[in-house]
Amino acid sequence: MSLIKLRHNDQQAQNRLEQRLTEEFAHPSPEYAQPFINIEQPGNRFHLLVIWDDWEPLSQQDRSVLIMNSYRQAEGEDAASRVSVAMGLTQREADRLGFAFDPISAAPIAA
Amino acid sequence: MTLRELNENTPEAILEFQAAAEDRYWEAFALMTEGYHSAGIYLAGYVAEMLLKSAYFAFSGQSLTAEVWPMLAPAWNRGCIYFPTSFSTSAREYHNLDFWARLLREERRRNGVALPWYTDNAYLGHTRLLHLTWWVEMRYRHAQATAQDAEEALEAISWLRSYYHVLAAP
Repeated sequence: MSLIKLRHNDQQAQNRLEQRLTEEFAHPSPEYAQPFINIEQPGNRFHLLVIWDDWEPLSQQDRSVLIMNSYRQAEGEDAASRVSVAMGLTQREADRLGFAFDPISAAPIAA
Repeated sequence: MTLRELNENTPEAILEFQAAAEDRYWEAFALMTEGYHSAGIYLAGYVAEMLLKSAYFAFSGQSLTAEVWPMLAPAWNRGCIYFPTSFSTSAREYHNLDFWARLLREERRRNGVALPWYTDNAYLGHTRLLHLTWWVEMRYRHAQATAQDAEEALEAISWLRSYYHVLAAP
């Protein structure tokens, strides 16, 4: 995966991030590499957690919007309407909150 | 540690919204009774915003200790689907009282637990009044609110506060 350098207020770079994430939602990469995506389904709603260092300059709300836009493009309006949580973290933030991923399955595990 | 440092690092959870709404309610009440109508209305709007948001998230089954920020974009997305002619994903207004009032109402309706008609009537009336009275940018305007404006806003947020348990209940 190519590194996407993001500066503050860089709309083009944000668009590239969105495209990259849309691609990852639609066709998950088999490699162990960011963005790490976890989708939980409590009841009939989805919780999306994405761990990605490339969006570090973005605010948490901008990351949440980016996740929703990407998911909607990849999975459609109906699936997007069932998302109730869209959380975007960097690896350091995820570590601080206690999220970790199993390097074998790339699935999240409790820290 | 400064007040801002102390609070900014604390996650904004639904429970925090509920507690903050209670704080702001009494502060709004105090301002209004002292004749500071515009300032009282300014705080009243935030009371309504926090009550509506936390009611929606609580009704939607979110944990009270869950952080609010990752839920805003998905909620806005749902609102745009429910009301495509009123709201757009390209113009997000997370402080829009009309949005949160309609979203909560529609979510309840779609889940088969619409408010009883008499409660719904009051809900629509009070939230509509608040939407027409308050907006975030009013903080930049010279005070123009009357005692009647303040009284009506206080009545509206008092109603929301009293009926919160009804609005948030599944």
